[in-house]
Amino acid sequence: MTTILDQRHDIAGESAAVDPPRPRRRRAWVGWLLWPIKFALGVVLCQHPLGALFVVGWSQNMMQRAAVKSWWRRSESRQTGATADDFRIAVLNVPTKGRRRWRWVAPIWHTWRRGLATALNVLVVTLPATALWVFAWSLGWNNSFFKHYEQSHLGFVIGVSGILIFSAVMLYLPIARARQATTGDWRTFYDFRFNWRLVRLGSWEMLGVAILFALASMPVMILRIAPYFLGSDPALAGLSDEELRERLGEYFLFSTVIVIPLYFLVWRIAATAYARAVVRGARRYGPSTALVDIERRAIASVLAVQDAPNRGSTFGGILRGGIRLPVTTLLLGTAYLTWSAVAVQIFVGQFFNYVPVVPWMNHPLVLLPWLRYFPAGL
Amino acid sequence: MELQLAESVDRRRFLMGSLAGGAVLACHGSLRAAETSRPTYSGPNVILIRFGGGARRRESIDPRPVTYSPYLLHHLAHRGVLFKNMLIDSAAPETGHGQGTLNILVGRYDKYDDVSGQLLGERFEARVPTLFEYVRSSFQVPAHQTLIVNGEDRTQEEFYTFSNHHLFGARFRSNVLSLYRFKTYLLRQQIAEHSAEWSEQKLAEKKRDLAKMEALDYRRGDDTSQAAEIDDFWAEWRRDYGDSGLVNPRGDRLLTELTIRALKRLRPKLLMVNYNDCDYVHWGNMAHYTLGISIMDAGIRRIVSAVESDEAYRDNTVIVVVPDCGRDDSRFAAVPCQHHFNTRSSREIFAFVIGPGVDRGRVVDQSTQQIQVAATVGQLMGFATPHAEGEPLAEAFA
Repeated sequence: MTTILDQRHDIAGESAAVDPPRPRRRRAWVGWLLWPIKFALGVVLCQHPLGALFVVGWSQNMMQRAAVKSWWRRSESRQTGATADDFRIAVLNVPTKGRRRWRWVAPIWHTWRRGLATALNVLVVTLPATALWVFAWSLGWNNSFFKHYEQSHLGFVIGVSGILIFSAVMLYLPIARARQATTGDWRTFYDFRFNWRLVRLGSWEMLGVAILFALASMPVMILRIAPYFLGSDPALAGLSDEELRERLGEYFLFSTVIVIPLYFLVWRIAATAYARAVVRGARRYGPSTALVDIERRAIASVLAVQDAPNRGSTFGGILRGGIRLPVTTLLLGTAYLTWSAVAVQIFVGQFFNYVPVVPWMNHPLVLLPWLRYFPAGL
Repeated sequence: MELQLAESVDRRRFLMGSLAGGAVLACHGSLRAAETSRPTYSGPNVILIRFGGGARRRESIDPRPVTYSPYLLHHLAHRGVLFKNMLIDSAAPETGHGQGTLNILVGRYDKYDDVSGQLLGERFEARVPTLFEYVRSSFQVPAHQTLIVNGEDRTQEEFYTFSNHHLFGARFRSNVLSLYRFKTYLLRQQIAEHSAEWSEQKLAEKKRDLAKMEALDYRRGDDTSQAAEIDDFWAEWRRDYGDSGLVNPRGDRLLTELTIRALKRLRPKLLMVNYNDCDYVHWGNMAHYTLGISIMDAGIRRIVSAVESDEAYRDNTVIVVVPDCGRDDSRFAAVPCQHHFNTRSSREIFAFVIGPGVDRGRVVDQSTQQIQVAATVGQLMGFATPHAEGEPLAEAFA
């Protein structure tokens, strides 16, 4: 029986066979050595939005590996003894020429570009909601201060609208971003119909992702608020602006040490949720024509484990479908409310430590893992 | 037999009623006697301006780099005594508007707990008498001539008209002028005017709303009224500004307008203005803070002008300006004074006193306490403040 690993890939006119697997002990040793270096580098890069794009790119690589590994666990290739690395190489159609050199250190430009493409996509879908928040906050409190009763509803309505839109976007975003990461194609982010089907297929996972985000957002909110209280320390009174910048800079380095693991955690879980949703959909309904090559290759190996999709009898299918719809709706509804709680956290953070427009519109777990903000005058 | 029994019951009831009525008359009589035995008050009148909610020295009297209260600093300060280094050295964990206002009114630092049980509630009740109770228990000053002018956002401060002290309390309470009170008056009037037109359901609903508004302070029991003069005041306000609430001045400018009108119509002996707009900086807009200070400064100018143009008030009125609390100074924040979380800066305030019997053009650098304001007002007005802990501000007196 042939597997994906036996398939020959024409890469740049050359046929390439899959190399035999490497000894695992050596790979693990290298990985453990590199990890703290990459982590420290990531903390430093996240002190600037442009540097944070690298980290976003790395997270995309991580998400891709996580999704593919999730498929590998369910694949026929695993049963035949292929490693996760081999499976990934085959699924992603990684060129063998020079492959060893790039296996664990992706091109710098490629990573940064992945991060930029991801950040732009996330910004496109989140900007309407976050822009509404900025206007709602400003307009609403201006109305309150000047007692513009005639327009008192505006701030509230705009703010709530922003929260409703944000919550809806966040139901969609994890799957869309994970799909972009796995396929390496930014256009899959906007495959709204198919991505939404994946959201519905992975409704349990979507709830889990939302809850995880809400929990992970709490320490992030505290990190956002803390500078206000730290800055009130009387001991800072005699310090110069340069010394204050240095202190605050140290704080942001410390904050990033906490944010980066949370960022990678939530998006890794999102990637796994996406992978499971794809498998569930393929098993239930067969491989969709909307799948791209990478997904199709992986799913083929997954479906090879079972001969036919798990459709069951027609009556059973109707019964399951009848139960599935309200359960899915309930799960996604709960996830929606959980995302609203994330939005509320953002508002609470703004109340305790107001920052102007740009830092407010960037939630460190959603867009860029970047917290560094110096007030004007420092 | 039955007739005799009925007659003895009636006689018993009559005697009991007579005894009760006699007791009431006796008490009332003694109260009236006590009231009339108190001397009339001839002045000076005192206008206590709460420069709040929460204002720092650096934006007002100690400009770094600019002041947003130029009238107070450049035109008024040299005519009175400025206490640059007043502090709130309270044992309470929080510097806030309610706490600060009560510090000023009772002359004591107390730890206040919310009595309403609401989350973030600030329904505080003073344990010792307020300045209003002192002045009314010492002099023949009717309730409508001791006033709190309150903002619409802080109905919890409507409770500062009297304390829970057993020797003082509601009997010596002040009255309140606020949009909330006007709405209560308006609703009462509308019920009286439209009850014939309204359906039973609507009338019942309106009466319930009115009962709820009038029961704002549970301590007053069934006596929820204010003086008749206050009703006349509101009747004139309604004539000028209507019922909509959209014509009258708003925010702290409303408080200034209420104060000016009160000076003309009600002739208060002791009046406190609870400015609060600058507290909107809690939501992050620094302009709300600085504009709030400017609005207060303009309000002080109008009040001083009103006092000086009124023969009864001119040369017979002391004005005291004091913040309820300061604000933070967070060096790491985009809005350093967004809150007042009990930092050193939030405990640093000032006070300014001007009027007859007050020194002129003096600046006091040594530290003083917010709770000294009550004793100072007491000394100026000629009543004792035995429950206040702070000493009068000796430097204020000429």
